[in-house]
Amino acid sequence: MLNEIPRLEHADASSIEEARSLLAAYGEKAKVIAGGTDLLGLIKDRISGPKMPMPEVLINIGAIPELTVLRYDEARQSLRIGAAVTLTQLEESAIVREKFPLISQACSSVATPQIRNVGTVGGNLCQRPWCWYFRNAAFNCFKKGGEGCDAVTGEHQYYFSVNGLGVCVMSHPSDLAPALMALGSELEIASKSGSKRIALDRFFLGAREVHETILGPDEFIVAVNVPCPAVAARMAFVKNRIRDTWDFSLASAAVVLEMSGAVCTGSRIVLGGLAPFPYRALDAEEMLRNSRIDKDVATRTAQKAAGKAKGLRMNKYKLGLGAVVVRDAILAALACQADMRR
Amino acid sequence: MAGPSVTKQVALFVNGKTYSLEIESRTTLAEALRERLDLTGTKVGCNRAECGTCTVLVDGRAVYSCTMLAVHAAGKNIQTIEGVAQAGKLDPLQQALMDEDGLQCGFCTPGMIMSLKALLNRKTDVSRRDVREAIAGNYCRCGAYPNIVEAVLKLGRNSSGAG
Ligand SMILES: Cc1cc2nc3c(=O)[nH]c(=O)nc-3n(C[C@H](O)[C@H](O)[C@H](O)COP(=O)(O)OP(=O)(O)OC[C@H]3O[C@@H](n4cnc5c(N)ncnc54)[C@H](O)[C@@H]3O)c2cc1C
Ligand code: SF4
Repeated sequence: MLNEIPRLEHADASSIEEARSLLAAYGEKAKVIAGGTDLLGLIKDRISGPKMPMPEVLINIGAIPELTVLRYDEARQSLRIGAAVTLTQLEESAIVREKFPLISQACSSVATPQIRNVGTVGGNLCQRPWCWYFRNAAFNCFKKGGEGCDAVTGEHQYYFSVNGLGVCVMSHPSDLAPALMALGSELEIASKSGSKRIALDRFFLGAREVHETILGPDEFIVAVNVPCPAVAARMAFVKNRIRDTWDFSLASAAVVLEMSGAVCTGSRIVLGGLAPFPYRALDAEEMLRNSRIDKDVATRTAQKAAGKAKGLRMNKYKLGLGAVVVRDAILAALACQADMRR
Repeated sequence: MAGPSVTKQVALFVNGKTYSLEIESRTTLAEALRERLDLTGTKVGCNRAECGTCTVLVDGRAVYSCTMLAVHAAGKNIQTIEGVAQAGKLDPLQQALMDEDGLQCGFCTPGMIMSLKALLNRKTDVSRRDVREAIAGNYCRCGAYPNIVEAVLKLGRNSSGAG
């Protein structure tokens, strides 16, 4: 069916300042758009509710020059990813492949080439739930301002959580977020009062919040800064999904190991597809500290990562699956050819 | 600065021709191509970035034209299935798909061809994996995938002279 998008206003912001003032002027009616791969589907399906107003004004931030730059800063040893950089640009970047291979791996596991060619980094971090009740106008669930969660009593075998359960049980759909979080990334955010920086660790909210992130309606991501690991590091991203294309993760793991010779001196392990936010497995990270990793250590660490998870009636198999992807990601990181270091 | 507006004057650069038109901001690229420019070779299946038959190239990259606003494609280089055959002669890729039975009902074919063009424009010596990756975002409900992949691989062998 054509013309499914209702009549709406659209403006191309040419600078951060302009986007900021448009957001301030139009308030709740306005919504930023970059690639539109997530937002346009929601609009076509009229997904809205008391806490999710239908956007009436789209503010395109995709062409703001500062947001489209991907640059490695040698002096600071840090990668700056503009929020409107596409997943394909990020995946194919030579410097990303060389210094941050797990970012490239995570990008290439997202959706399809067509979506990666248009979908942006900012849009990927801010995408709304892909819970099928949320994406159906017939259900006025908690996330739209309704009462409860339709998935918890409904069909929740795939894209739902086993960990960090609260009111909403969707699992966070982003593959990029665990990878960026495992690298200790920081976000640059434009807000009404100027710009602020915040660790990606503190960006996502819990399952009792209507919104997935701390962003207010007049705020947007300008860039993601990814520091190069301080010591020799090995890294990998592993995703399990039903089909090898198009599908969201059932369980995924991003692992960064800091190595001193054969000893792992520190690590970051972040799970995707298993909680309503990218889930840092702190217990498992602790277990790896100062260990010599082999298959056995990886397996036991992975079991710890899935440790406290409970699961829902129909998705308990994900507890085991979570342990498998963590084990595989630890071993893949260990086997990673080059040590990344400053 | 131009404030938000419901309609916009845009220039769409499609298959080497420039079209100036006033469109509603809500118009998708697929709608603009089909409804305004009469380029109906681009099909719309799901209209949700999930089937791939609406695939066109924007600045050389395959995109779902159903899920991109036309105003976001303004000023960019757009290629559709109509621009693939040159001077009334099928592109070798089109001919290869016909020779190898790389289609049955044909509804996915325009999108398949555009995804494959995106690959072949960048790389001539393609592997089976490259081809499968290139069409990973295109559904074929007849299940013609094996013949599509073979057609492209054969095309590569022929053009590299290896027979
Ligand atoms: C069929 C399908 C399959 C998919 N599979 C996967 C998958 O396997 N893994 C995965 O990770 N993702 C998947 N996705 C999601 C996809 O990665 C996102 O749709 C895409 O990255 C969003 O980017 P965009 O620029 O198109 O965002 P838009 O659609 O433009 O925006 C998405 C949301 O983010 C907000 N937004 C956009 N940019 C910013 C910014 N800079 N600051 C603040 N807010 C912003 C918008 O207001 C909107 O709410 C899939 C999507 C589809 C349609
Ligand atoms: S899982 Fe979250 S998004 Fe889905 S129905 Fe429950 S509250 Fe809504």
